[in-house]
Amino acid sequence: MKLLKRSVETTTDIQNKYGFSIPEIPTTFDTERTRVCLVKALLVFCASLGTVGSVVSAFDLSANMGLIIVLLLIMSLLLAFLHYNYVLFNLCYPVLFLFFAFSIIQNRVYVNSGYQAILNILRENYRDYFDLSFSRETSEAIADRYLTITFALAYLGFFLVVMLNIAISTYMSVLFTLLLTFPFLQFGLYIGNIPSFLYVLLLLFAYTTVLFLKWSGHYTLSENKKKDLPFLAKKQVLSYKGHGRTMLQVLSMSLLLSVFFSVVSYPAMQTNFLAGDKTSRLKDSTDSVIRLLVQNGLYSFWNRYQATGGISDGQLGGVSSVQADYMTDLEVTFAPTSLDTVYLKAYTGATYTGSSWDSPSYEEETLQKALGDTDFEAYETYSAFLEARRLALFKKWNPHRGLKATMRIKNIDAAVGHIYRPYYTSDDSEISCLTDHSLFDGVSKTGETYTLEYYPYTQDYTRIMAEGYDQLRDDDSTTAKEKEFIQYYDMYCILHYKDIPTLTLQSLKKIMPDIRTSENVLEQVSYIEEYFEENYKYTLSPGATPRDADFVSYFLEDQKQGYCAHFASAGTLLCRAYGIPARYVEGYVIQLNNMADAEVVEGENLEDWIDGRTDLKETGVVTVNVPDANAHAWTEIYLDGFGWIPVDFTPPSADYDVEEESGLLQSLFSGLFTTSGNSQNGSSDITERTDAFSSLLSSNRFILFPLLFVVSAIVLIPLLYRLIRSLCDRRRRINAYQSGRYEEVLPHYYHSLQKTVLQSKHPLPSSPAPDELFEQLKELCTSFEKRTEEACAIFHKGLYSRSGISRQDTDYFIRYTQDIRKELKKR
Amino acid sequence: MFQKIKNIISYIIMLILLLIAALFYRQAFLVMLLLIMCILPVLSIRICRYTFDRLKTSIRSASYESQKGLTIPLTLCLHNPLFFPLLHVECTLEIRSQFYPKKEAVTYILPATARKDTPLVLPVTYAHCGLFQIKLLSVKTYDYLHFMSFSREETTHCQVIILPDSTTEVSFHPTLYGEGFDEYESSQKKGNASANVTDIREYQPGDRLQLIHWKLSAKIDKLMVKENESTSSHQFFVLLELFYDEKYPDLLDKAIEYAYSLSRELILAGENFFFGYYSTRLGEFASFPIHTQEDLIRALCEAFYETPYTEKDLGRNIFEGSGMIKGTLLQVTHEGVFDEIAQKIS
Repeated sequence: MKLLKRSVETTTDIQNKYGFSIPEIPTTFDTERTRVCLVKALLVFCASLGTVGSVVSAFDLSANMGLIIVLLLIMSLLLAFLHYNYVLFNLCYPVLFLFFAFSIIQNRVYVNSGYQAILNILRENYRDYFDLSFSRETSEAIADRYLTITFALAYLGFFLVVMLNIAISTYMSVLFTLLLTFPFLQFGLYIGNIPSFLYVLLLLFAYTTVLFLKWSGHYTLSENKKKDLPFLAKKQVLSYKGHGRTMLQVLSMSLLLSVFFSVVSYPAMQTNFLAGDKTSRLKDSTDSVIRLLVQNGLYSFWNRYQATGGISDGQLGGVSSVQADYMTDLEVTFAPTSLDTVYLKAYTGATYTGSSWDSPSYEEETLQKALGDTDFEAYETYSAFLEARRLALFKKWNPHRGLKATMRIKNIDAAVGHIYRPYYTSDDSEISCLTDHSLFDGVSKTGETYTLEYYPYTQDYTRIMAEGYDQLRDDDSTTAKEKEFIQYYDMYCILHYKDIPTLTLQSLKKIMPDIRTSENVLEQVSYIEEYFEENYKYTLSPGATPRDADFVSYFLEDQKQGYCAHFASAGTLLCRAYGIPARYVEGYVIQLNNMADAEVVEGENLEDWIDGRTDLKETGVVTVNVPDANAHAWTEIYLDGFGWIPVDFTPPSADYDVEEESGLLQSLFSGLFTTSGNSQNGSSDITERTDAFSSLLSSNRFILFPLLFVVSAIVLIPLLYRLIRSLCDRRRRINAYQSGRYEEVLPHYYHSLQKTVLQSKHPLPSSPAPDELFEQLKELCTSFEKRTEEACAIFHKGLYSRSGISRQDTDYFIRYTQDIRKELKKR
Repeated sequence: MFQKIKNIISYIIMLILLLIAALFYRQAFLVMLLLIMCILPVLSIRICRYTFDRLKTSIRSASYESQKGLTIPLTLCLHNPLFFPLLHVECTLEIRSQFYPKKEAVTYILPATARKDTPLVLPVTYAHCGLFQIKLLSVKTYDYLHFMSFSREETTHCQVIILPDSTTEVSFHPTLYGEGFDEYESSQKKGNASANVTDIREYQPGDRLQLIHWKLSAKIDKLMVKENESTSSHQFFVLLELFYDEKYPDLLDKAIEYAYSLSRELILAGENFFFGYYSTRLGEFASFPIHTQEDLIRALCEAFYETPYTEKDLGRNIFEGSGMIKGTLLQVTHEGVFDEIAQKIS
């Protein structure tokens, strides 16, 4: 906050040693402080209302504009008039600031909710503009958007008024005014939402006036009221600081100019003659940035945690929001075999540490003890492709039902430390892979393409299990060693993939009573899914987990919202808590919409890609671009006799049901903030005429209400201004009289006298010199001749005498003016 | 000039930014704004030019005659008959006196309020005697965007005559130069005054009480004073030396004050005398018979039109050389009053 200081202004008396001097800066030139403040208040009001209104009209926000206009006007007047004198400024600014801070804290829920509502509406508009399937969305604490948006806009307006008051009242800066207001206009302009004509007009008017006043250099107020120096002196040049009446006239002229230009350009604004060439290269280049901003917020521009844009290798926490860049990570060519999501597995987490999932490990000694002196590589390869082997057997036994497919994957920008593979990749794929700890993985370089053979996860695995469980388990073709492998692997998985840290287990136990239980593994899994869907929210911005907190415990107990990694981790541990072997998996998903949007590869023979019959009536070979946003985490549960199957605990992203906060404030304002008539009574009485009028009002509310307000303000403000001014004058006069500054009293009465004489239409110049006026009075009222002479002498004495005038003289002059005015009015 | 260039450059930058914005957004609304910005300077210049051409100025002093040291309000007024205000009107004023050849110009920057007079009252204090001409030299204005300026020479002027302070005392006694005085003038006895009355006039402050015509005053309820004809063959010639020293401008002022006070003493003493000075403008002596205060002021005003000279005692030397002396020469300089034998008498 800038403190106004009592400036010591040097009065450069125009002294001429050759004969004359002008001892003081002219005293009769009145800066008209009230008018100057009024002009500045109007400018601040127009600029702030223009800005707020532009946002409202561009995005069709539902808010009580009448109330906002009134509040902005009051605030603008209040702040602009603080500059009336420095004492007022220094005293009231901190008080206003405290009041503002207090009120915003008091209403923080409404303001914040309104702010979130505006952001959500903006994002919706941008999402539509960019044709995005998803955008960030923040929760709103209060459901009544009309109320909250009005609050948020009012406070946004207050903020703008404060800033604009500094920019206009103090500096009359065009640049600052533009910087404060134009960015808000751009929200709408960027996506082609042109603000309402009236608000653009207000802004144009404010810009023009500020430009004229700034470049004229005459807009300031002298700060020292007692020794009011309306001129700035520099050598022999005396320049007036500001003049209220002229500023008002410039204001009117700018208004006329703005109205004229706006009316002329209105048709062009309505019919966009550039519609044929809407985009520019420059804008195209910024679109990606804006899109990212819309989807991920400001965080997307820095502190990007690489793992969130794809595979995080089991790292949890430390990520406040998912910040995908929506660039293609993988290019996958395949023939869809069902409408189900295709999972491309990359990373497997076995051990939960509280902040990460570590990959499986076991000691060779243990393995040696269990399996004896054997080929560990053979065991690892066998166990790593166990499910594929079983499905291969299933296909062999059921040639009409089993399915084998081919998938070609190109690593565009995905992490190079993994091979991305669908369920269930067979070991006869021509890829260089490693098998380790019963998993297989490898390295896919950027730009590298590899082809996989896989048994798609299209069949209902429960059906397969029911039908082929025993056959699969008791495969005659398997050797005794392989049977031993399977036996050991089953045992290992059942034992090893049930570990839960003690701290996490306590949290799990707290919520487990709320989850239905079942003996059936798959039913239990569905109950966990159901529980998550009912009690937890999916969001890409859940906030970071505190450094020392357990990731899953914090999610389950405090956060209650999260993204796939939260649900997958919690789901995995809950499964373990229910005795189901489970592990955490990261990779990519190809959803139905990706497949639908995919490019069909022409000239491919479908039989080369699918071996078997699919559930789909028609299919073809497609190439899907999988962006990093499709990176996902899910859970695998181990089904004895089959192997690992994927389970996705992440609930679908759905609109969050906002809680309606009922409070005293809302009940007070409920009538005021109601947008449409919801009354249950009398709805049948509404006539067609009323409907037409209402529809007219509602369709034009962005123009009509402000227009109505501006018109009434134009009528009322001058009246109010005159009233306040006369009251202020009277107060000042009384103060001067009581404190013995009689020479300050005389001009008030003199001016009223002058006004009366001028109104009497006698031949006088519009600004007569005192002598001329008194001469005229002598002629007009001959009976007052002597008194006029004496009054003239007193006036001169009051103006020019250093000793000043006495109270008696002042009383005499006052009585004289009153009497002569009565006399003149009689005539 | 610098300000103009700065404003033009700033405006061009704003235009470029708006052009970029229009190209960026491809919105008709911004293109219209751009067009408005292109038209705005033209409009600004045209409106200001039109208004400036119709702007009238006036300058007047509250009083045309005053005494040294008093403050006289001087009103500079701008009359703008149109609906467009002018925010920046530079009025250059010059206040000068013939006695003080150096001019000083003062510039006041004022607004010209639309359809209204904008007066500026300057309480000017005149420190020296003389005829002061107050002239509005020029008026200059800028358009609203300060891209162009328009100026014109002005002819508006007014003048103020500043008389010396009457409080300066000169202890001069005409009776010391008594030879040749007639009987009346020497005796001034009661009862015989009516013999040489030439005129009766209204009382002026400073007149002797003995000269009041009481009977007439009682009749017309106004103080009237008798003026007697001087029957003396002796004549005083008050010679004002219009000597001016640039380094000491007060010297001339002092001389005028002495001359004024001396003349007033003579008037009060009922002396008819000549007041004169050497006119460098005419190249000869200017002399005025003085009977009354009005005569004296008239003579002084004439003297105020003269250009002072820088040669000391020039008037006296020329006067003595011309052989014009018929009475007592009273030379008045800044040092005092000297008689014909250059003896300082006051």
